[in-house]
Amino acid sequence: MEVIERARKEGRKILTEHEAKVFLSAYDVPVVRERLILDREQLRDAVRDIGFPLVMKSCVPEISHKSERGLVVLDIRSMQEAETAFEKIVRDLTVGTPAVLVQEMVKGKRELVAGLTRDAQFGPTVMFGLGGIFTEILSDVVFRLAPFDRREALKMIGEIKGRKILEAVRGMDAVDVDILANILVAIGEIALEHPAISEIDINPLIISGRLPVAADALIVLV
Amino acid sequence: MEKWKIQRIKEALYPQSVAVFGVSDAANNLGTQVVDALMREGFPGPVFPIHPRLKELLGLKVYSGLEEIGRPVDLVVSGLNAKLTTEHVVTSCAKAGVKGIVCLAGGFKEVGIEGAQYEKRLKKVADENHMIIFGPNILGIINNDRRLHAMFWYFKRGNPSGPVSIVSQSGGVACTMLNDCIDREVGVNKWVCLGNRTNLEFSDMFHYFAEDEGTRVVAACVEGIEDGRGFMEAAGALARKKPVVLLKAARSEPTSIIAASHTGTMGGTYRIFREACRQYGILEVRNTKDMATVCKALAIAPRPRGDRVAVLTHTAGPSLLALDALIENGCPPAQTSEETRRKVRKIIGENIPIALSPNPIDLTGSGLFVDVYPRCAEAVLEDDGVDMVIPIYAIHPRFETSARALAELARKTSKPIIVAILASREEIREDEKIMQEAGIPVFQAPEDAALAASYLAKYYRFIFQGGVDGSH
Repeated sequence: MEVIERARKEGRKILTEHEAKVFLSAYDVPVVRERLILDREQLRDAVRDIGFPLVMKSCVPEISHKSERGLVVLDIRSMQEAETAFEKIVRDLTVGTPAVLVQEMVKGKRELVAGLTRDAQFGPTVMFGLGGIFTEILSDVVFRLAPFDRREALKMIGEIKGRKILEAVRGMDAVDVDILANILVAIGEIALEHPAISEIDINPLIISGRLPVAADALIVLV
Repeated sequence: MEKWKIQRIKEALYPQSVAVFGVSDAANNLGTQVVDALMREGFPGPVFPIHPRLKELLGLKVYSGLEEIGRPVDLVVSGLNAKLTTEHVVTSCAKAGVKGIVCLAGGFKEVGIEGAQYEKRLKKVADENHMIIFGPNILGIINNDRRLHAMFWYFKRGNPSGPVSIVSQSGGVACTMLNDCIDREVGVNKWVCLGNRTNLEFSDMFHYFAEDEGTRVVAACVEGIEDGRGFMEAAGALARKKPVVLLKAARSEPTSIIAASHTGTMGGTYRIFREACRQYGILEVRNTKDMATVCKALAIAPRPRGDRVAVLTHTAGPSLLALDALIENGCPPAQTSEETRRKVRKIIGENIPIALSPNPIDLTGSGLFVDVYPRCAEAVLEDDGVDMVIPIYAIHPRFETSARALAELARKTSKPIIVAILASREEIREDEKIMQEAGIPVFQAPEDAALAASYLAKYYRFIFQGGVDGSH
């Protein structure tokens, strides 16, 4: 995959959020619609393309924990807000080039996490669980050694303590677990096909309607 | 995995003869204790103590070396220290064509650089000459199927053979597990300590156990392993043939680090270990008591054809504890049919004032009668919605128990019956013997019977539904 080669060439160990999503899309992992813009001239076009409400974030490989650094602006509803957000992000950016992601704001109260780690003893291991702030607080995640099939992925999904959240609750639709299972199987396949990738973190994987969508993604290289 | 190892494990566990290095005339000497244990436990072949000067030990002729014996020796036990075992014993074993060596001494990779050097040499010579090393740093090995106790320990109360085989990194945990099995009247077949695992891995033993006729259930006690994936794949392959029950020590971070100084390997990420067990159909337990309980059930009871468990009792409280334990272990209770309850009602008589629930079936006082209890058990077993039954009963000095009738029933049905008897160990012994011979595992605590049933269910789910556990 070219994104990996490019990052390698540039001496980077981390793919940008946009690169990570391009990569994951190639494995049929659903990701949010987004456009990467490098200067203010491209903003209007991107905003028109994505539509309101939208999210804008810096897209610089050197920076993680974007929201804690104020480099993410949510729920932008007008061109004026978009311009203000752009200026703020570029101003607050202390390193790197001013690359900004313009992203659709996915609506969904349910946030999941899916990822990949390489364990010293067990090798590639796929993780799945409750996402967003709950990943850290509840640590309701399960693991599987990769690779595995759809049946195993479905079992995995059924093993989180908060599995009821995937059902039709509080007026929300039941999650399409087949697509969820496909994502987990795909992460396992990526692990085997790309030894250069040491870690994947899709968090949050937002449930929009019935469908899981990767709203943010991190890919770390070996 | 190398093929020769499986053959060598077999030869080392079924030796024609055993030689012991490191004996002396001091009674508490390590090697001497091994000779003593071999004799006491009735090893049927010749035992050759080896010492450069000693002439006789415990009534046996002592040899100056393997070459003096003048016939092949299959298994050697070394009670000598790391230096002597490496520099002397292993090379002389290689020359004599020995199949396996039990290395008792510590002082190898678990203590530092010099020890690691010894271990490296030990491994090199053993690998080159296709010899199996048990250990170093272990209590020894047992094969009750050949009355082989190649260890510096023996069991005063006897150690009968049975269908459970144990493989353990730690000798102490292996001993505890063995005792827990003896306590529960379930015999152990092979008992192998791995210690530092120089050239013998868990995965080798798993391959061996898959083919070993005497082994029906495998208990694996693990501290830390380097190749977690290889371990899981080998254990998973075995689990498809025979249940593998696993106990992991060093589950927490502090104990994981301590484990490194014990057998030379860090405990590792328990979280992933645990879930890999689920993935590969390995039945994890939390302590040796539960391990023995679960192994006993898997060794004695027939394999169930489903995971729905009904509880039969004449006293309510214990049956509720059993149901709690079932549910907590991911086993939804069975719902008996109205027809079954009508049958039960007819057996106990219409006049008895009780309300029968679908589960547990509480017969109250009428359950003490030997002409009532087993017939009710039969009615519950005949229910299509029931895959296993846990009969709970107390021993009353004036009433004959239903042990014989339940044993008869077990011979007629293919569904597992797991009994809990509310009485002392001494009191249950006779009933236990009668029922276990008929394939009914017997426990004292209702929770233990429920734990046993829930693991039969887990193994059923793994074999027939591709899943061990859908619950936490």
